[in-house]
This record gives sequence, C-alpha cells and structure tokens, in this order.
Amino acid sequence: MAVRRRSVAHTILGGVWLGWKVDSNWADPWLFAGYAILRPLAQSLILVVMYWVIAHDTTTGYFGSLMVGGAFFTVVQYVLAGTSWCVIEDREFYSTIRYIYLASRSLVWYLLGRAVAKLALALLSVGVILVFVRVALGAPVWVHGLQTPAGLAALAAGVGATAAMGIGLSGVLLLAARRGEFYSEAVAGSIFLAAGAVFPPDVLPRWLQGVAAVLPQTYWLEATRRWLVEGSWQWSAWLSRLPDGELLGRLLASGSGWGLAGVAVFLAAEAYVRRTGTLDHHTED
Amino acid sequence: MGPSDASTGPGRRAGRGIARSGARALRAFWARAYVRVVAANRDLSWILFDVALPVLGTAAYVFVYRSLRAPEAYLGFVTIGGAMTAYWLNVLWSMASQLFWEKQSGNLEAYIVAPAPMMAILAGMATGGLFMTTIRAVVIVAVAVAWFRIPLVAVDPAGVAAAFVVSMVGLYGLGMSLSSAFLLHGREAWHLSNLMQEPVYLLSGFFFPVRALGFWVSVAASIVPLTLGMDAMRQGLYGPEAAMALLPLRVELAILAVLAIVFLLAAWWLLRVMERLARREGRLTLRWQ
Repeated sequence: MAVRRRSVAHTILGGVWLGWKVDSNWADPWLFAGYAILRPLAQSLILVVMYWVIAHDTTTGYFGSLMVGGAFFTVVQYVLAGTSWCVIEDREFYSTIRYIYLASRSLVWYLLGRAVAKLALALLSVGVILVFVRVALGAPVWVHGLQTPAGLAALAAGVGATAAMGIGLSGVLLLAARRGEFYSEAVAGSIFLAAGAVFPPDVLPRWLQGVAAVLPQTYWLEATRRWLVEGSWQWSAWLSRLPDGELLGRLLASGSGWGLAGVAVFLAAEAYVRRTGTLDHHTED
Repeated sequence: MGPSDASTGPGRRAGRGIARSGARALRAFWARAYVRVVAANRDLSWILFDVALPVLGTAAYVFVYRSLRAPEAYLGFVTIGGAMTAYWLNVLWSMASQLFWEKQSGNLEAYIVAPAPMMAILAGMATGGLFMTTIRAVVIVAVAVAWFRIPLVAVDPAGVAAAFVVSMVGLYGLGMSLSSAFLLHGREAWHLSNLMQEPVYLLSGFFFPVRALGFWVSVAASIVPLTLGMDAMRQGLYGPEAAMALLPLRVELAILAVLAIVFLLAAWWLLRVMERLARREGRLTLRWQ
C-alpha cells in the first residue's frame, strides 16, 4: 500500500513539476510573473472601466462583488480550461502523451498535478487583483461575513469541483480531433456566462438561470463574495436569499455531482482510447 | 530600329519581366488567400467554434451593462467590440503568429524559396484572413443583435464604412509587420500573442468608449488601428456625443490612413530584415528555435 501511495504522490508531483516547466521555462521568473499576472489583470481592468463609465463609485459592495467574481473566475480559466488543454499540448504539440501515460500511475493523477500548477498561477493573479482593487480603488474587499474556515472550505470545494470538471473535459479532448482549444475556451466561456461571474445571475434569461442553479461555480463565487466583500448582498437578490448553510450545501451537492461525472467521463474516454489505440493520434496539422 | 529589335529591346524585355513578376506575385497572393477564402469555409464547424466563443464573451459583457442599467448605446458598443475581437484574434493568431506556425509545419522554407515576393504571400494571407473573419464578424453581430435586440442604426453610414475599411487595412498591415517580428522571436511568439490579447482589449476600448481611459492613454493606444477604428465606427453609428468620441471622425480617419501606410511599409521592411537573416544565419527555418 505504501508503494501505491508514493506512486500516486510522485505522479501528482511530476505533473506539478512538468506543468511549471512547460508554462514557465521560456522566460526568467520575473518576466513570467508579469506575463502570468498581466492577462487576468487586464481582464479585471476591463470590468473596472465598464463599471466606472456607468456607475463611478468603486466603494460599493456591488463593485467589490463584481471584482471578486472576475478575479476568482481566473481559477476556472486556469484550472478547467488550462488542465484540459494539457491533453492537446501533450498529444499534439510535444507528442509526449504516450510516455506520460506509461510513466504515470494514472492520467487522472498526472492531470491533477498539472491543475495544481495552474492553480498556483491563478491564485497569484487573484491576489494581485484583489490587492489592487482594495488599495487603488477602495473596493470593500476584505475578510468579511462568512467565517474564514467556511470561506476556505468553499474555496476548496469550488476548486475541487472545477478541477474535476477539467478532468472530465480532458476526457472529452482525448476523443476530440482538432480545435482542442475551442472546447476548453467554450466550456470556460459558457460557465463565465451562466454562473454570472461578472453580473448577477438574476439578469439572465430564465433558461440560463436554470443552468446557473446547477453549476457549482455559481455558489462558490457567491460564497467567496460573502467571505470577502462587505455589502455582497447588493449583488444578487436570488443568491442573497440563500442562507449560508444552504449555499454551502448546494455547492457541495452540485460540486460532487459534476466532480463524479467529470471523473467518470474521463475514465470512460481513457478506456476507449486504450481499446482503440488512439491515445496518441495526431489530429492537428 | 526594325521590328525584331522592337520585340526584343531592353525596354520590352524589362516590361515582360515586370509582367511575369507581377503574374507570379498575383498567383502567390491568390494561392495563400485561397486557403482562407475557400478552403477554411468548407468545414462548417467554424460556425460553432468561431462564432460561439465571441458571442459568449459579448453576451457576458452585454449582461454586465444590462445589470448596471447602462444606456442602450453601450450594448451596441459591446456588440461592435465583440465583432472586432474576431479581427484582433485573427491578426494575432493567424497573421502575427502565422509565419511561426508555418516554420513549425515546414511551409516557411517553401515560402522563402518560392519565386514570388514574400509580401505577396503575406498580402494573400491578410486578404484571406480579412474575408474569413468578416463572415464570422457579420454572424456575431447578427446573433447578438437578434438575441439582445440591440439598436444598430447608423447616423453616418459612410463614416462607418470608411472607418471600417481604413482601420482594417491598418490592422492587417500591423499583422503583416508582426508576423516577421514574431518569427524572429522564435517560440516566444505563442506567449507574445497570448500577452497581447486581453491588454489590447483593455487599451483599445473594445467594450467601452476608449476616452474613458483618459486622453493620453487613448492616444498611446491608438498605435493599434482598432482603437481609433472602433471609436470612429461608434461615432458613425451613434454620433460623437453618445459615443464619447476621442477625436473628430475626419481626424481619426486621417490618422488611420497614415497608420495603414506606415504599417504596410514596416511589413515590407521587416520582411527584408527577416529574409536577410534567413540567408546569413541559415537557421530561421529550424523548428523549436
């Protein structure tokens, strides 16, 4: 048993190490840090300017909620879209997926390692954005409301569910031919829209509100707003009506459902490509 | 001078040489454009992939403005910006990075040794990309307008058309310049394209009037032709006041025309630099450099 545990840990750590090398070894650490931060910071600043040209006041709970949602959505982009993109990268660009497959305890553990490397970068961006909006714009972003252990539990549940969804999407990409980046971006973009990351889900059409209600990211981002934003109740009438306990319950229920589905999809896809010998088929030009 | 002298004289020979070079350049232009004008539209999966993503992003920003109860014109700003993202993405990933991809796939050597000017190949790439992206942009605008019932009635249709044409010439001229510059940067091209995506959305005012960034920041951002191009198009659609115009429409058109000429000349010069390096160092077409 000890051997198995170490082997899983080695696979995860190998994924983390490889992810870091692939993502960062083209530049020195400072240049890379700038690169990793600049893109999400620009995304957040777009929201800042959009808000400012209409509403001007950046000290409201609404503005803080907008920025927290936008900042933490970086985690979804990096962990969900970024992890699933690793399949395309390893299979199509570097042609290393067969060696990784043979050397890993399981591709699931390897991809989790890659997700951890992406998560570290995403959290760095989140930190920079939140400090910026707090210090430079006076947004009411600080630990507030929902207690910190509950906030951290919500963060763990949200990240875990997102990573599992990323594993599921990786399974889909094992089967997909060409245009891999579009699958990753389309899923992340759909969640961005349906979960109301940067606007209250109340303004969505009714059918999209139904989608929002089953996504763990909807509840995770709301829990994070309650944890970090003073006046987060200004954000969404629908979500602010949910008591803390029910909010966390919904997060756990939807996160577990999507997480289990994601892993199941991946294992089914992995079995299929093993059976058909298409794990390392090149499909891009 | 007899008839035989007239048909084989130096002037006639030079004329025939120019005509042959021109024909070769045109053939190279069309060959590179063909891939994007005809071949890329054979696989209709682009309707899902190339339209769905910009529509998702545009929809999210429309909902941001709706939730803030912004004036209706802002929904139009976002729609125009969403359509223009297709052009910026095309310029970044299918122009600026293209020669790098061609190197990776082994086509670059064929381009360099082809008996046609590289400028014709780049122009074909740009024209094909512009055509391909315009189809996508039209679909994006149509979907967004139909979904959100966004008013797009131009107060100055000629101004909108002029702004679009002149900013596209400048934008694709920029793309042609960047293609050589990115090739010289080797495998960092991928990261450069990534790095230039969202920051340009911000600085060029894709989703808000660029004047909101302040006059001098907006002027500095005008190095990307889409900055003034979008500002001019919004003015033509909604009038200068509603569009929070940066400069008068005619001034913006004049600056865009100058930018277009400058970028086309820069593309020609950078190609010469690249070709000189290719001959001198002999490693420009090596993969993974």
